[in-house]
Amino acid sequence: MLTGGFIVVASFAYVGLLFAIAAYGDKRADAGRSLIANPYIYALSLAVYCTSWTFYGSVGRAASGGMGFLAIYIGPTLMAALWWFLLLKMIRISKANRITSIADFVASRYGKSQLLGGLVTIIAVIGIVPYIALQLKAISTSFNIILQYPSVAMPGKSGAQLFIGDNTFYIAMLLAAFTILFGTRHLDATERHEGLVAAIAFESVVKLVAFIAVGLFVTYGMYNGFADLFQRANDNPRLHALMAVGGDAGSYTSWATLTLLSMFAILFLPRQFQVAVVENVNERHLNKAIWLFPLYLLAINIFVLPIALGGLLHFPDGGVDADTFVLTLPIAQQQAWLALLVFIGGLSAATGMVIVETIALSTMVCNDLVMPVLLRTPGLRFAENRDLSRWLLGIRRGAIIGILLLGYLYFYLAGEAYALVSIGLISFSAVAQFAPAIIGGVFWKGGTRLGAIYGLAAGFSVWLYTLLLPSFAKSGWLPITFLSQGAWGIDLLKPQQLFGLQGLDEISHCLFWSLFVNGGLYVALSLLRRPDAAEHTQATLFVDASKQSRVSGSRFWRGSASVNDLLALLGRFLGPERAREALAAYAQQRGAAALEALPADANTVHHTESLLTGAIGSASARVMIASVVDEEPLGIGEVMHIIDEASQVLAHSRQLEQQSRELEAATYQGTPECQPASARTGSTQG
Amino acid sequence: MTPTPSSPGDQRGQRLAALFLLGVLLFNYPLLQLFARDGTVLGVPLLYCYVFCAWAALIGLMALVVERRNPAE
Repeated sequence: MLTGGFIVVASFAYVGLLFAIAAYGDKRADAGRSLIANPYIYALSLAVYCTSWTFYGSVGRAASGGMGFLAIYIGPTLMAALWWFLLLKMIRISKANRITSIADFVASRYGKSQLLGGLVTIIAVIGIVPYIALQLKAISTSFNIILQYPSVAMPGKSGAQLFIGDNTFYIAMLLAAFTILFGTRHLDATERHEGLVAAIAFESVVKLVAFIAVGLFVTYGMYNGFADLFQRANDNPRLHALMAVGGDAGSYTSWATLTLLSMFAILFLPRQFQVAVVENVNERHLNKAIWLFPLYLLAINIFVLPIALGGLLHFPDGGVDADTFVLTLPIAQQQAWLALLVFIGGLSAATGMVIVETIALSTMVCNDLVMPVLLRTPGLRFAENRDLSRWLLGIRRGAIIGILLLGYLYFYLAGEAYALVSIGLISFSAVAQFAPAIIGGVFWKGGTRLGAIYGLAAGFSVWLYTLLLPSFAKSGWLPITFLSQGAWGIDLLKPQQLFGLQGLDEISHCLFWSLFVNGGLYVALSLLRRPDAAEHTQATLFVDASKQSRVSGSRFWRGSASVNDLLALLGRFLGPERAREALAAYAQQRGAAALEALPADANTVHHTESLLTGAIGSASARVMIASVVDEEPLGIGEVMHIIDEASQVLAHSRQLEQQSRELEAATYQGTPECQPASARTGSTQG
Repeated sequence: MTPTPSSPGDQRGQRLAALFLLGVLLFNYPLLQLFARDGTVLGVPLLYCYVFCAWAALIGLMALVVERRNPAE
């Protein structure tokens, strides 16, 4: 029954269903009755965190490392408790400044720096490539295995040639096509994709149902429940070790490292930023997500260890790769429909990740890497182009194809040497490099551009040297002596025992050194030089984002402009019609009779810049606005003055609030003399 | 709403921060080691049972904190 043709048809039917859901979601959004405006969809869309890594890889990890795999899900649970502080703040900042990607977030925080935006983009793209390779590996392996139904056979080492003749290449290109269709049908100034989010939430349901179905089948169909399964495993000395965190199955240090790593990943992975921050409809949805999302993680993990044990007991000779147990156990039991459900579930997990991740990355590549270069290359006269909106879409589509090609190349070069989870951890470690610049950036006004640039660059270099290059060495694409003797044969430079540091696993080792130099340089260089005016402005906007009387960005601007210039500029990126609509809506909001009556003051310029930021990123928007507006830069003294003024107003209003509350309390007491408590105690003392 | 020490939003934040710290303790070295020994609860190994029960309890407490209607709101 499960012929190749049938499986391909089923896969396409499933993807077709996803498109139908996305189209319906978009239609509802246009009609103003959003499908995704509820906390349950929001929480489910966050579960895009669970990819093939979770679906296939966790079982493989559990089969060799026991309970250690769970740290990757405990971390996000802990971070969810901190979302109240961190994620809420990131959402507010991003909404107020129309930030649409993590690169833009960092660039914007440190004075709208194009250099920093580009750096974050490069780190994110290179860092995520292994993660995309992981998904490709999972899809291609599961496809090759289910093709063998009803026999269980591992696909041999693929002797396929690069590109043509390799299934995985076609899978990568199909995924690119889906992503382009899903994510770049039209250009939206806010980069929100309602239909896509609906489809992702649906995928989260499918992968959870499929995984729990296998779990129930293995635990209760093949064995007599948890107790029976654990009893049999316990009798087997080799499996007995898997019931522990420490000991043979990995150390407590690795456990703590993975917890920390996944805490960063849940916030800073580009796709998590996309669904949690950019696609957030209402910040109140965060309340439910704080506990619903961890609950999802718990549910999808209950059966991981039982499936791993069941697989190890059922295939005792080790001929079956543990990364495939989820699929091979149903096949071995001749459960065709269950096997198909698992395959579709795995497809859900992989496609959800690839689609959202590449959309997020393509926005970054376009806004923070390609556009700044095009706009700045004088010979191109690109900035004078009349309609750039089509260019924007084209660049994004190109970026999507490019990123998937890189993923495929990594799979081809290094994919075979590693298990699924190990590949993913390489990417997590790269993304963790954003932690100092972002967490420091939203809580500490003193962090500067210089510190962020050098910290990120140094941390990323250490990551390249201690994790990425070794992964090529292990696959034979670099001489293995690089690993065993260090670069140029220098012992202290051994990539995974840098400066002689031993006793840590490779991930902990990389994380320690990279965060050490990253965080160290960030703090040290920030303390060395005072931030300039632009940095100070942005630092205030970010750090004080949750305060009631918001310090508006337009207060930090002085100059002159004309509404027509602004309209023309906006029209080149959004298309003339959309630009007119957007500005007219703003004019109405400000009470101007018509678009022409709109005053070209600081507020209007600021609003135009934020509209433009949504389309091309904050750094490029800054440059474009500066090109049509005569600006007088503010000095640091003036900026400080404005900030002082604002904080004085704030302190004053707090004082008033406090006084009125005291007064109220005194009135409630019903004492004959209705005096504030402080006045009363004062009089008795006097 | 500006979080002042007595506002309901801030109360919630403090409780969540406390739960975070509790979680860090629950899922780390000394406490995990405590349960990493032979023994079963209804046939399920002690450590496996502990991790999932503690995890579920933590989620339950988080839900309680964010969902509880505050009379002051």
